[in-house]
Amino acid sequence: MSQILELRDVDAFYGQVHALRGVSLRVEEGEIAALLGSNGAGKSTTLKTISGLVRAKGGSIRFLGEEITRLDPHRIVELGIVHVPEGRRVFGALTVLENLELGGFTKRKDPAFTKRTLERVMHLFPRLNERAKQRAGTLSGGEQQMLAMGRALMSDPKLLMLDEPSMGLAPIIVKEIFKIVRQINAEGIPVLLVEQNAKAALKLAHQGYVLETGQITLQNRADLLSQDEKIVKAYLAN
Amino acid sequence: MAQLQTTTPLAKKSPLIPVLLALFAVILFLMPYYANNYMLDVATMALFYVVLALGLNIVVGYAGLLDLGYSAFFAVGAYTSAILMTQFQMNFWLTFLIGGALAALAGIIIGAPTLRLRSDYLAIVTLGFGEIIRITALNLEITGSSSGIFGIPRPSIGGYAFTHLYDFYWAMLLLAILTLFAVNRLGNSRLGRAWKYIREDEDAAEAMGIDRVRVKLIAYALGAMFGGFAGSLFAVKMSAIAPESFNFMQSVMILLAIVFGGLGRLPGVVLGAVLVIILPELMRSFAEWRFLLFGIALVVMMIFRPQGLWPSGRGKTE
Ligand SMILES: Nc1ncnc2c1ncn2[C@@H]1O[C@H](COP(=O)(O)OP(=O)(O)O)[C@@H](O)[C@H]1O
Ligand SMILES: [Mg+2]
Repeated sequence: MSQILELRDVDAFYGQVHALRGVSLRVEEGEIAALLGSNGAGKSTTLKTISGLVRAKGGSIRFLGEEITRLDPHRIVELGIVHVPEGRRVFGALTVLENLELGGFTKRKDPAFTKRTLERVMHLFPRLNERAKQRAGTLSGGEQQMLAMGRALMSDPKLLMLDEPSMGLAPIIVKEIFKIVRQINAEGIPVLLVEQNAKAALKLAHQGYVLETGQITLQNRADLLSQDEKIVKAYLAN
Repeated sequence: MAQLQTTTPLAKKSPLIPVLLALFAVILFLMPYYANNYMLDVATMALFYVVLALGLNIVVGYAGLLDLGYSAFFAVGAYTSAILMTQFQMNFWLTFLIGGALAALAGIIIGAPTLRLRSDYLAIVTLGFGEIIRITALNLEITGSSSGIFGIPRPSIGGYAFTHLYDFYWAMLLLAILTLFAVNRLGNSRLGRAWKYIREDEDAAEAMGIDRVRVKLIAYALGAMFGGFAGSLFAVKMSAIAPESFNFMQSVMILLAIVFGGLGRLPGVVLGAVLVIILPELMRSFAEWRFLLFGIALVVMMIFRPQGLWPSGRGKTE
């Protein structure tokens, strides 16, 4: 298997706060990698560092064999990494369609391609189709998550990074979202999935990483990780 | 259930509107034939404010950046024309273009270091920049220090010299119309959409691949450029300029114009600019009370109609 993304000894700071301490992880072709950890562990920071929103102070990040550690966020998106941020961050005052248009923004693809991608997204998320002209702010939490994911797919990503897509959603919606993540992955898009909901995430993922106060403390195949005693005790107990 | 998109230009909504707009344009063009000099002068000032408000609207309305020092940019345009024409005998139209370009450059210079600031700091920095420009003009010899520059020659086009008030009125009207078209086009362009995303949620826009720095700098540069154009024409119309023409109150008035009419919506911006000039004129009999009354009107409006005077499309913040 060839690798899509590799982080090696990545350090990141917020002022004096040392948020990532030598984080190393990789995402292989076609797989879903889950990044687990409790609140404040540094999961979001890891994604932000990959997408360039936070600058890595040390270490290296390679994507499809290319060094991207010091690139600007928009350059990284152009290369194909799309980050669906924590809390969805859809544009509430804009319509669903306008939100999706942003996804196709950086890729100046031909209109035919944009149209096809839009159809694909609408097919994947029929609810978005029904609400295309509605303001995104009026959508439910689950629909907003779908919109955020649909928006990401519009830019034809080569790696999709999802930051806690299940946050604040009812179990039944979470199930639906995760099913769609699996579907997206089945189409060949590798996914880096950040979750506090470790149980569900490990069911979905091929590989799992556990982050604690900025350091990777465990990593293994997801099925093995979900049997790991420490994991079960710390993250899967309820 | 489905909501109408309000991003479509106004002109597309009804076949009547282009006709009305054309009629309105004709009435404006014919103004020198039926209006007296006082009315014409006020109208020229109003059009001048329309250009300034449209320019500032790019920065504040489209890109969502606060700017309390916008008069600095029209000062740059005005002084550029004044200096180049009085001391280097340059052709006005050339200085007009140079004034716009230098103002754009000033926009980038003020924009670049402030891009990472939160809006409250941005307010202070832009305010400071406006004052720096004014105080510089006040102290430099080339800008004529406190007495400013006078005897700025009148421009001409192909042998036709601008001598009457209506020449400047027409020139300002033309500039206002061109600016309106340009700013409207910008708002509906790819760049306009990028500004809208940045304004809505900067971080999310950046995460989706919008080049935040570039997009914001272009907003500052273009906004400043229109200010520069307006300032340049202002200088030859007045034939004299002084630092006090570009004080903080001017910046506030332009900002008021766009807040008054409705941020980001061009008909509102134009209306706001016109009202900001005309209302104090109408209240002239109240002499120095008029700004107070004007202020009260604004406060009342902020309470009852904070989205601006122009009707918005069904609660949309566009
Ligand atoms: N913008 C910020 N400024 C300062 N500290 C931050 C900022 N964002 C996150 N942190 C700190 O960095 C650490 C990791 O945060 P984060 O990556 O958001 O964790 P997680 O996503 O795992 O909950 C936490 O200690 C958090 O307080
Ligand atoms: Mg987080």
